[in-house]
Amino acid sequence: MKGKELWKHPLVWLFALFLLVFVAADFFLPDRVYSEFENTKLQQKPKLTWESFFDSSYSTTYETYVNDQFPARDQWITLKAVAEIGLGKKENNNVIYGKDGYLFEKLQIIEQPDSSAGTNVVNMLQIQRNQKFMNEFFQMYDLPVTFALAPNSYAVMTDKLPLGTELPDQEKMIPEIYNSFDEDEDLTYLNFLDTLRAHQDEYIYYRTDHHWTTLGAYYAYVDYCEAKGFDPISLDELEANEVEDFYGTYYSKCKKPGQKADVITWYDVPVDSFQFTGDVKNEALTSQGKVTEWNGIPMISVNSMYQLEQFETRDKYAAFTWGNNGLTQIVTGHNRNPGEKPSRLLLIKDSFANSMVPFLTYHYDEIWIVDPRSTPVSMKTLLTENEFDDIFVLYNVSTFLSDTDIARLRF
Amino acid sequence: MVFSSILFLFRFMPIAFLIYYLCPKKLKNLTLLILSLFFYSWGEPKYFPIMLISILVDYTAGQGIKRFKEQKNIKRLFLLLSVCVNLGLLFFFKYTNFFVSNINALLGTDLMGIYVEKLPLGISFYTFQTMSYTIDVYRGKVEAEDNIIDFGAFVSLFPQLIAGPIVTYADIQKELKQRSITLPMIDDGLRLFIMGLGSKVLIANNIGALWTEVQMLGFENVSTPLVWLGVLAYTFQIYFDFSGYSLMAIGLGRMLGFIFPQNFNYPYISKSVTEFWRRWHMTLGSWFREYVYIPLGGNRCSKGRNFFNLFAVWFLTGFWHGANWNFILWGLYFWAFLVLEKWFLLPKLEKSKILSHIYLLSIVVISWAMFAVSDMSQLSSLFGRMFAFEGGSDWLYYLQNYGMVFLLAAVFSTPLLKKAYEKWGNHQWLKTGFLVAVLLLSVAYLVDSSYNPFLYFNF
Repeated sequence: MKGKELWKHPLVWLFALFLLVFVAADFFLPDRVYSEFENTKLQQKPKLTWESFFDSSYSTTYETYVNDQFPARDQWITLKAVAEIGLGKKENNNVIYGKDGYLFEKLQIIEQPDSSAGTNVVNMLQIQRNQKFMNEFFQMYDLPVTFALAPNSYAVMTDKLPLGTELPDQEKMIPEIYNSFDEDEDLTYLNFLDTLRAHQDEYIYYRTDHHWTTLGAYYAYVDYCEAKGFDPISLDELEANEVEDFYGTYYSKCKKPGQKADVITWYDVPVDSFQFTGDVKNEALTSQGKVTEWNGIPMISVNSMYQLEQFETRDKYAAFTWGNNGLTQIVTGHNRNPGEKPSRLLLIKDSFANSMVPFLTYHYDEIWIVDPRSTPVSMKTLLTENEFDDIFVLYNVSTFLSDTDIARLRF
Repeated sequence: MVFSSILFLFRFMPIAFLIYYLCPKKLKNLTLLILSLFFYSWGEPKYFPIMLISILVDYTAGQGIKRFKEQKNIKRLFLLLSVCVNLGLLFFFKYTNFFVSNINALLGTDLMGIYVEKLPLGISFYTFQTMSYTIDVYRGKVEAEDNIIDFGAFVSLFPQLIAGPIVTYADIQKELKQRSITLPMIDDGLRLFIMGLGSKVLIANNIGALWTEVQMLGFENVSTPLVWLGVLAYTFQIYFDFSGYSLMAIGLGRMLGFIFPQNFNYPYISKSVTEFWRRWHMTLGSWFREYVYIPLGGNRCSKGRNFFNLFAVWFLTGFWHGANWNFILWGLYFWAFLVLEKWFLLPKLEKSKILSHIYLLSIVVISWAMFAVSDMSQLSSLFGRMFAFEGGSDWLYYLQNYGMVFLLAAVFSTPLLKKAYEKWGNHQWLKTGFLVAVLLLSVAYLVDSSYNPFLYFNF
């Protein structure tokens, strides 16, 4: 009789069981440091101190910790993504689901965005600041500069966007930014938009990542060569390699169920020397080359253009130029435009340039790459103490609008 | 801590309920008090003393009124103490800056406001709850509570602490002393809790993201159809957010052995403003009726006086929702329609069902636009865009994204589900399956939540 009474309330027992299982799993499962699935670090257990308790930082961090370490987190995230599709949503976590498996960033430009706004939201003030800083940088040196803003995938593959999607018009924005700079005879602008649109039926942008593919980078490189009067290397002359199962940053954000993976193509390009400012304490990294020094800055010297091991991990794009490092110096011996003395390019860039660098080595003996986000030397020191033949500044539009380190170019 | 969080569901809830169910009957109120104080202090330990002051002052006032039953003046003094402390706390935290900035604007002075990062959790709710206690003791409606632990448990009771329903002492007086916790009650409570969780997490958060986005894009930068979609989204968000939270509170209360009053009764199916306010935030409505409207004379007076009484109630109702002119405007907007209805409109509204639904919904949707935007220049640009047509195709994208959520929200705003529920009466497993699905989906949305605000936190 009693037993029958109990079975009348299955919800209570299921709920209790559900809580029990997850609380126990939470208790016994070890905490994860990093989520491959989301390509992000997870919150670790915060330390309880009087101070952190009273200023409420403990409770806030603890709540994030519980969320981040919740058992089966990846599966819950997938369940949400499935439910969102069930609701007919065309986006998840600010990534837009385009046609043919293309994912796009939902870039939004806002006058005074809330601090809680996502990383897809750009503060209009930041754009104005970056334009100003870039302009100041151009005025500071008398070297020939090429400046290019690479359009983001949504701006090129407009017909893959869902109906009615209104995103900032990069076709209008790029020339506007170029026109905002003071006139300067040494300055050349490149706009890849027309070139890329002409090839939009080819595989020029990753479906799951914010970068262009190596092919997209190649077409932009051809444009660069044209502007510089170089004869671009043909892809047929190079040996291509493919890496499958690439799920990029857009996928890490939205985790769209059933998403088709990308394929990365990379070309064998030899180097004479390749050194960069990496984490010299990271033994896994230093064991792949040797630790050297340049002007008192510790660097890692390797003998390959790519970090091939990186292709085995989730963050595959980081294989190009060994990731985004503050300063990288590449010496190659296959310059197709040799001069009397070795030529040297200074490339100031974000990660879009990484897949273009191998091609550029066919026109310079040395390429020095600076990522202003983590450069160990000031631009002033670099440019006054070293000689360069060309400067190439390459950013993708989205990063150029939002990056807070462009200011550092002036120092 | 909010109920709709992984932290509450998988940390606080299992531990709190386990302790509560296992401890002997005599200690249950003490356990409840300690758990509630912990719940309250989590995240904002600095406001812990305020809760203690609230409990001690109102307890003392109740005892004072009881002891000096015959001495009217002393008795009145104790009542005054309670009302002043409660309203004083509320005023200090919630309204100081509003008055300071208005005085500055009016007189050109340069007075300093106070810095309040966040209001003390639930202050608008528990000050009203405790005030009702002393007033009721004063009126002789209830006996003063002698046991400070029982009283403390009433004041800090965690389910209704943050966002209501506004539970008066009279409501739960009996359960506070003697309550039984049975399996059917827990089952019932759990069902309500899960429904509330789903309302909040699956519907309110989901559709609220649309309004937040429209607001972020700026009303000047979007088309008229999109701005209407945004306001409509807010209309659903505020209902499912608030009613969902109330439902979770009622459910948790029932699982603890308390019967809390209903707070929402499908307000969007109303046919008049009068009816709407009988169905929306019902415990607040009855609080104002009991402690403001009736003491002022209610409707047993001249028509003019009656309209004034209503004015007072709706001014206060608006102001209670927030220390800003738009909330006052919002309250008086409803007052105007209530007066019109009382005057002549009500009988006419009964003639056509469809027209009266349209009438009520348009009034309510516009009222939420007023409610949602506190900045007056923003508000006027919102109304500008709503009523001066500006075309565009941006709404198409959002309609594809949110069409289904709108549909679900509309369906769940009516008693359709409730009716289906009654029909499935014998299909226990079907009902259970539905609730399990709601629970699992809610957890999934909480784990991957980039957007989980709580609208009534500031009220």
